[in-house]
Amino acid sequence: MTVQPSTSRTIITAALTIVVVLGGLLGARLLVRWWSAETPGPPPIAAVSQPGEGDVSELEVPCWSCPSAKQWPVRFQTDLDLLAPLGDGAGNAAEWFSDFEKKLGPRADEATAMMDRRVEDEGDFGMILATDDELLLEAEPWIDQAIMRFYPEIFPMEGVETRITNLLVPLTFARSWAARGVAMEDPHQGLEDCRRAIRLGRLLRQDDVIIINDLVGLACIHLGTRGVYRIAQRTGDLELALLASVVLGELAPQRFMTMEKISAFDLAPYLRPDSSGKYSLAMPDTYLDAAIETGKKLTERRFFGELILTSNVILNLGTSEQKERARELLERLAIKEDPIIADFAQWALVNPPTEEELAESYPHPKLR
Amino acid sequence: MTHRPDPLFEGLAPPDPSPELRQRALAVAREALGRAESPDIWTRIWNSRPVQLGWAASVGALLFGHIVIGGVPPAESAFPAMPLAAATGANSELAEVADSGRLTVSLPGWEVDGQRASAKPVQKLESEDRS
Repeated sequence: MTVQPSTSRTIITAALTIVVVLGGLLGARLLVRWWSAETPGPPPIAAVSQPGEGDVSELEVPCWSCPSAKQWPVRFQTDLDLLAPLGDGAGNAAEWFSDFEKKLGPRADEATAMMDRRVEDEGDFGMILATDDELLLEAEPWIDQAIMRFYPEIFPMEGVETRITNLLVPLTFARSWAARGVAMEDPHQGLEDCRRAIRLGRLLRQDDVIIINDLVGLACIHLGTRGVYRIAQRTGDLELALLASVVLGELAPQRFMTMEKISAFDLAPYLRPDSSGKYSLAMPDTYLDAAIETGKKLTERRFFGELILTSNVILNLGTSEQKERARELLERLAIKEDPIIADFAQWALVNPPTEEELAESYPHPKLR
Repeated sequence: MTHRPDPLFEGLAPPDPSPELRQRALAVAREALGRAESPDIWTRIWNSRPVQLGWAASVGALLFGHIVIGGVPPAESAFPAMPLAAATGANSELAEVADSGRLTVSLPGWEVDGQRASAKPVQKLESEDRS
């Protein structure tokens, strides 16, 4: 075939471009795969100090049922450093735990395999791993780190698409350490295990972004503290048992206060799909009044997510007046100093919920 | 003004060109003029079978590489982080931990399959209460 020199030059340049683009893309994809598959190395060496010698005679029992407790943050009033101080490691424990994210995490399959290895605890700690399970041992130095931050460095805030680690992994570890600790003959080693479960719970609560992370953290603290209480009871360490019981007494109020706030923003009773699956909202204005009032008093970041999602639904399905009020609320939140709250509110202003998201997010109250 | 060479260098004057040089140069020029124009680099590449095969092989290999390392990973989250009801919905262990039931409303009269439900009159509820 004879072509003009200028035409052949153009075609040859295009052909070379195709090769370069394909090669570049392949290289980039390989780099991304390598980078995402690379598991973090061992965590920085860390030390965990022993709990301070607290004077039990000065230990207060927080009055969660007193009217003043309404103003308290949903946090422990008792200093958990008395029970299980955090380690001083410079690493971020979230780097390791994020690898087990379901489906997308590079070690998701290992988490699935781990779940299959669990056995029922002879006591009441639920499904646990063997005491020498490889993954359980690998996790231990990560719990000696001082921080666990998932958001936004590891998982960016992406509205309802915001990712989350596989929380069954830390929950299983906490159960396993608490069970192993209680079963140990040496009470000092047993306490170390239970305190490790408590530290994991404290780390999970640091982010204060996602409610379920916080509740799993609370469950880890519960498991570890229950173990501490049993060991203290067995060894006759009544001061430690008293401290553990005060901490245990703070768990239920925090769960209830969490659910109280969630209930204030729950639109499920007012959202209904029609026969074609299209949702409509029939909500009294007084409910919106109450939700906005609750929102004004929020101090903890993790509850803002529910408020923002509720406002997002109202903005798109409410009456015109409700829509306007929801928009005002979101616009106020969108200029907050906290970038996590502000970004999420900005997302909610421009992203209407899909029918699938509504079905998933607001199951009928009787189906929960 | 003409320049006369120094008599001292007369013996060193350059020789005259060969008398055949003109004929030879003209013959070579005539021959070149008669030859067909040689193709440029682009045309030579365009017509080169090895280059064509090399290009096709490299494109094929690169496409194969893309296929081997798999498709683009899904961008969406595998599991929702929020709201709480969605985050716990798929797993009973997490639901147990989160206990995402409502605290404030008992919702009498709500039926799952019905139309938008409304609470039954209190009087009727009381009359049904056998406890």
